[in-house]
Amino acid sequence: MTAIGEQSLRWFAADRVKAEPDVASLVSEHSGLLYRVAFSVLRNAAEAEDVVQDTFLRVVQQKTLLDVLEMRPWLVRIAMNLSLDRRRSTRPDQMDALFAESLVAREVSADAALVEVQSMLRVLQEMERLPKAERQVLLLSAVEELTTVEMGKVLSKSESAVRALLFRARTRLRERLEKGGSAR
Amino acid sequence: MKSTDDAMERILRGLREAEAPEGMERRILKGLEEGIAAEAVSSSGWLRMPVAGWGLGAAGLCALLLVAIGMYRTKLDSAHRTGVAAGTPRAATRQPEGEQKAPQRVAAIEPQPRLHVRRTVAVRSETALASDENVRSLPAPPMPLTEQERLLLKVAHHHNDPELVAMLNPAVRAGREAEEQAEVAKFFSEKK
Repeated sequence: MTAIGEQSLRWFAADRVKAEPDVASLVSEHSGLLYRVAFSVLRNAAEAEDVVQDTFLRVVQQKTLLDVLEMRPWLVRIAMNLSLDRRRSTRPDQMDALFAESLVAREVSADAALVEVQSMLRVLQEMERLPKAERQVLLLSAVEELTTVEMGKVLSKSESAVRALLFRARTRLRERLEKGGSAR
Repeated sequence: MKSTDDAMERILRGLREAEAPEGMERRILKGLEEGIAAEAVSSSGWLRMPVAGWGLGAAGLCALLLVAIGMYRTKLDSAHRTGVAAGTPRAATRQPEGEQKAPQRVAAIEPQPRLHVRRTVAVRSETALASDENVRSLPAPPMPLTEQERLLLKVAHHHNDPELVAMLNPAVRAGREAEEQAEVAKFFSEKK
């Protein structure tokens, strides 16, 4: 860990209750997951990093972490909500275009790359048009780091409900893409 | 179908494989430290204020309190005076004697601005006059004089009238009354 990280570790260890989880260790353990969760919603690296920082600020402002039974779903829920709030205040179309361009292979020709970008943008647009619960389940499942039970805790839903939502989201997305994205 | 699934998978894979920027953890920890330090300063800013600042603040509060009390009392006084000047019945009935009522009414009118001194004086004299009349009318009117009293008054003014002086003698007066009664009795007996 870097010097600043060690300093933070000492600071938190001195000022916080000893039995509480250390925020510095929480950062090193969960920041990657939180970044991917935020990125799945925002599709922008800088914005996702800001969300991760805001998430840990919320953690620090929390009076005690002893009440938090399961840290991972709790942190993911904070990051998810912050990302959704931030997405409303930004221009997601531009971010989606940049993200789609970054996914296109560099070896293909310009025309083929343009077609690929357009098709991926359509997928992203249709994902945004999904019902909120289905969209959130689809994005959380894309991260592939959370179990179905954990996703249920993040979204306050049962495991079976999460599975059903994920199935419906994939089915609906595929149908809409095949129909040309006109159906809702 | 295949291209749609392919696009979906590429998108989901892109989201899954997103890597955190280099040095993100370090930046986050640094940001947290700065945020916590700023929060601590802002929360303890009042407590860190020097003693002189607290003293000045307390003095200012006291001054404000005194001004507020003064304004409140002034307002109360003016309201009271307005009520008395309007001639509220309570103020009039509280005074048992007219002699004490007059100065209070004058006092109610007195605190008008200095520009109206003459008017104040005039109002004062009129008010005093009205109150004097009220005082004189307060006792019950005198009873009418009896016959004897009226005679006494006449005697006092006409010392030389012998008939009046004789009427003051009880024996003469009794004799005269007996004569009058006899005349009345005689009159009615003759009628029968």
